[in-house]
Amino acid sequence: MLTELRAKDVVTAILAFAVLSLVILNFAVNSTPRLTPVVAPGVLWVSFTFAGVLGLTRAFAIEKDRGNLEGLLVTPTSREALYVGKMLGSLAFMLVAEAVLLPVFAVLFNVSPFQPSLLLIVLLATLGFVSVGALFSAIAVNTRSREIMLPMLFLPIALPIVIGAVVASGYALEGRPWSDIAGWVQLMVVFDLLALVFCALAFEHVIQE
Amino acid sequence: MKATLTRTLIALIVLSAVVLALDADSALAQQATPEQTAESQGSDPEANLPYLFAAYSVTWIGFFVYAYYLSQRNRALRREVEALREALGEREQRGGG
Amino acid sequence: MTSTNSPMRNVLLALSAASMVGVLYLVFLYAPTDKNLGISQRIFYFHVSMAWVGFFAFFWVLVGSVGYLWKRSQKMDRLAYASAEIGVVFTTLMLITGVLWAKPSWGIWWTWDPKLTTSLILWLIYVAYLMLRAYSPRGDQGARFGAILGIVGFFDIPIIYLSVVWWRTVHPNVVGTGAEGGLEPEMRTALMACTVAFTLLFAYLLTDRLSLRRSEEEFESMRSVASLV
Repeated sequence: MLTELRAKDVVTAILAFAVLSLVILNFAVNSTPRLTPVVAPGVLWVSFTFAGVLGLTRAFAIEKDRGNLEGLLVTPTSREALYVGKMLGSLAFMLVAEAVLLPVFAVLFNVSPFQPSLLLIVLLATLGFVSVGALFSAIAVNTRSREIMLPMLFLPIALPIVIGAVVASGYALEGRPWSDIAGWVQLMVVFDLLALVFCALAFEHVIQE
Repeated sequence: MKATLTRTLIALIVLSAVVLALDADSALAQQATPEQTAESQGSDPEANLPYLFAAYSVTWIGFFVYAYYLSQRNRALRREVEALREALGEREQRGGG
Repeated sequence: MTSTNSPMRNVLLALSAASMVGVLYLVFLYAPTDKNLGISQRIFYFHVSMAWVGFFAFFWVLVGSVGYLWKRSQKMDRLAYASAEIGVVFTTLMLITGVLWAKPSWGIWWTWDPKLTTSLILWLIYVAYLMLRAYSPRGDQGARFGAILGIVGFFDIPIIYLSVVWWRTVHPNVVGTGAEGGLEPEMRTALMACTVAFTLLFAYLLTDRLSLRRSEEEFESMRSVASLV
């Protein structure tokens, strides 16, 4: 399940790309200190999304290309376990990417993101993101032009989590009280729970042959 | 046994998600301060006739384009069926003779 | 194989054409001009009823998708696919007429109001559905993929709507959606009639698309048989 973590060159490439997107977005929005609280969360989540999409594109690609998925299906592993494994692998990948991106972001935008509330938001949003993403990654890998299909399929679906993450992390960066953030955190928890349950159930229909 | 357990678990998770969502809705609704300012139009009621014209034209052009696309698909399909049938007929003749 | 028009389909075509003429009378001659929004308010009848039919179509995508995963019948998949395609046609026109109505009444083409944003995302999801069907292998696998997106997409819409509502209310609203308030009785009649007419048109297009889809599937299976011979 952790093959993609071992494929170091890919991880490095994706990370470099995500850092690059941070830098380019900084120029695109021409961030001045006054504007930073407004644009910073958006920039952060665009780069996280890039990294996540790139990671998820690869989630099933290796198995598909080598034909390992059929092998896995023969083993008595349950479909739900397979989904959870894939989801956790993508989650681990995306969290690693975020762990690298957050300090870079902190330096470039001159903010201090290492607060418990922001870290919780990042964790919840990432969980929702990959739980939807893992399902659609398994779908997209079986289509032609899979690199385009994956973001087309799951970014609109994952929109609530992206909105929640951007607004809530904006509040956290501004240092707003927890009561302002709590509603968004609840929304993300709801989305995560529903996404996990539904995607685990739907996964069975994706991979059966 | 295991299936019932799973089903109960799922029901519980969904239920708690709904309860949380309702709670979050009330929490966020308190923060919300919607501002509604409808812009009223100038005195001349017919000033926007071009927009009306454009909207209705676009609608009908849209439906006709779609209908045309459907008929083209139908025609192309029929042509391909004919070609297939001919190819099959030829093959059968060659096989028989 | 050749899809001739069935009697039911001809009746539907005649009905939707006749009702459309009636609707044009109601929209342009019967309903009064809105005092605030002027003549462009008449876009509203087509716009709202197409939006309604769009959602109605996506509901049928859901029905077909659930039905397919449950029963694995090709009929259900055909229903889902055909409704999705026609739903996209309706929502596309709904978005365009909406933009054309927003400009004269609000002074801007577009605003990130919850309804507008959700409609756009809705449209994107079902465009992705059509792309997915086009890019995935034909037959059972593609149908399963489509069914999952058809179900997830439909239930995601209320969540998207809620999150956009919360997101928008954080920022001040530039323009309001005051137009939906106080409808005069004639206007309501025109809107109802318009919705019925478009639903009939939807039904006609759906039967048309269904039979075309059936022919396509028959052709595919014929070709695969032919390649085996």
